[in-house]
Amino acid sequence: MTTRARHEQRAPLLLAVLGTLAVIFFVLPLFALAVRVPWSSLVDVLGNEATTEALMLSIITSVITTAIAVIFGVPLAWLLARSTMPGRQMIRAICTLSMVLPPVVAGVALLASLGRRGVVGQLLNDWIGLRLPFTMPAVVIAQLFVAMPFLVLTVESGFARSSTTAEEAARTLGASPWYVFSRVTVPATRSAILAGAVLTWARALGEFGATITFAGNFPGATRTLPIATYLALETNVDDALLISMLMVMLSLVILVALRGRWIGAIGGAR
Amino acid sequence: MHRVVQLLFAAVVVAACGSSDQRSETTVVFAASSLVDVLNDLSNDDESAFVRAVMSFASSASLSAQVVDGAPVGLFVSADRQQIDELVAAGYGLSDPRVVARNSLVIAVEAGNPLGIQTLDDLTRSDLLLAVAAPGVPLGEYSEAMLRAADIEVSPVTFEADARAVLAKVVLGEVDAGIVYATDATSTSDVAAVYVPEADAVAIEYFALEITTTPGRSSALLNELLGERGQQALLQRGFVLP
Repeated sequence: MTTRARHEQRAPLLLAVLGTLAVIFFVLPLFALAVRVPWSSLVDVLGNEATTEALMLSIITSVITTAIAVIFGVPLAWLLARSTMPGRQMIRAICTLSMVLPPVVAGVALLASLGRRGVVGQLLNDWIGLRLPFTMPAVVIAQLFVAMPFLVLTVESGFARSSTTAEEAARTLGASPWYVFSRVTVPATRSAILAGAVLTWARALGEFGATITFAGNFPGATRTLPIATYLALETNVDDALLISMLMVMLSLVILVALRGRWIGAIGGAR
Repeated sequence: MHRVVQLLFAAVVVAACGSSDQRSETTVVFAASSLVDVLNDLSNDDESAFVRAVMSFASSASLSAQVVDGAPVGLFVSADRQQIDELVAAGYGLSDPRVVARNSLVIAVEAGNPLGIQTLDDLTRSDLLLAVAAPGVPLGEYSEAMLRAADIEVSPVTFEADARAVLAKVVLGEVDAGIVYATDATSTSDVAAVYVPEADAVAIEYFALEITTTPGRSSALLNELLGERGQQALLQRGFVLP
């Protein structure tokens, strides 16, 4: 703590103490996990086909989820931040509710709507023979439902924060609304969009409850890394610890890399 | 990760004990998920010793791991012999494990059995969606053993984490059939249980073990489970007596 005080001389002691405690709170579980992991069997677990299959599925689905979240989430964030549509507060609340729902409940809600007997799922099943549960698209849907709000909220605050002067100038010069959005608004909020995308990706990668409820568990189709970890806990705790560590490292590397390269710009741009 | 779970659990137990007038008499009971109804029945009976028990339900494997991690447990009722044997071998047992009940496997189908599923062979129908428990959890192992003994190969659409999860998929209509414990299938009127003779090939026994982490408090609970009141409660929930 003394070194900390030396580096940041203006930090009040109370803040430094509380902040450091917060850091310890987050570091301790990860540290404990790292200590308990049987690193010697890392090669075995990494060479295990079931693990690599789950890892690949997790990466593929979380990336697809992030892409879809950007395609639909950025327009939603714009509507929430800039438009004058009625009931915006209500819409925002509803569209971000899944963040606070217990994920298993989110999964049940998805079954109730898109499941074989669901409100819409039944129609899809009867009309075009489409059955979503227990398929890879179901994994993406579950992740999207739980993770997209992170993008919407981050990007909305980005839109709300960015100055509208340049947009007005562009409009005055005769630019169409789409041109203003795509060439002025989006570049100005690029870092918020990236930050939201990374948050969404990280949340999607770790998604467990909604996925196992809505998509079930089938190797290669719906068994993501978190589900593989949970089931390994039943049979081989060491494997479970190793797979968890794998997830932690994967997320850490990407979060640190992205933060250094792009997201750090948020603070500077403000 | 287990360490964290254990700390959380300890916090819950401490909180539960703190709010009780009879803190010294509170005993922690760990039990397999399939026992949730029967033990809750007992704890709602004022004359039962389970009134003063703090109960935690999960899969036998994860409960067993928590015992090893030092969770303060008085009585552990497992759906799996292996977990009990490991705990006994590691010196956690106060006395020999006792069989308190038996269970059997059934096929859970939608109430009224609209697809007319009668035999284990029907599960191989290509148009049928089947859920089973994952290999590694006791129910999954039992299901696999039954299918192997009957030489029947099925293609489930999902391998669920436990019996209740398999049952939930059947109740919600997402699958046509699921292999579960008889006690789970009788716990809800939303599903019908199809009994198959091949289920006799697997012996499913529930073992109770007094755990050394809180010695001296669990005998009353174990005796009740083995006695008239406990066995009656087990029968009512569809268990078979040992």
